[in-house]
Amino acid sequence: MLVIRRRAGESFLIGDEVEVEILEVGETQVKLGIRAPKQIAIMRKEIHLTAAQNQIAASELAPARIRELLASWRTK
Amino acid sequence: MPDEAGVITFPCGLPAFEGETRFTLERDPAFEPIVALRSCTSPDLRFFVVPVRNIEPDYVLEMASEDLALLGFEEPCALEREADLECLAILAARQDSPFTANLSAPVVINRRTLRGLQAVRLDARYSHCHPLPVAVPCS
Repeated sequence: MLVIRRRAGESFLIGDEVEVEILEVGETQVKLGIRAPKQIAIMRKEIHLTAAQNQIAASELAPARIRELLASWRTK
Repeated sequence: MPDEAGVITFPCGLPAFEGETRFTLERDPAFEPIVALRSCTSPDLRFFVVPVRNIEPDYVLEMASEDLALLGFEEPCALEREADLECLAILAARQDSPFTANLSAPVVINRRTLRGLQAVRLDARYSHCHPLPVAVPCS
């Protein structure tokens, strides 16, 4: 992993088209500004993980498995 | 069967399903405490959800103020005392794998305004694939 030290007001580039600027550095958080072409999706990693999890939840969960799960809860 | 609450509007959809903005909660006593969250526009799309407190009794909900406003909750509001609030975790399981619940992004619904959203937390306090305990209290 590349590690760069930056201060508020400074920025760095990813490739030719993406610029990340450090806007504000707080005690526990940093505020970033990102300039990138529209076609590049930018999202918080947690949202990406939840999106992937939602796809699994929507496609791979048969009601039969829910019944199994309920049965396991009720026999405990 | 859709319950009395009727259609719930999710103005932003759910991550990966941003176009799905209308859902109903289907409560079947045989599936208690699990509820199905079904899309009104794509009836084949449904999530199985369970109240977060059934999984994590001390769960602490935290939401951004804009998310609270979107649901129609006054700010600052004590979420714990909010009678109209429903906080549900989406269940997932790959074939032959154990069940997990997404505690890092609960589905939060205001029963009064009939609005909902999936509130993706900013912190890392809970997992997006929390393993389900073997026994869950059936509230």
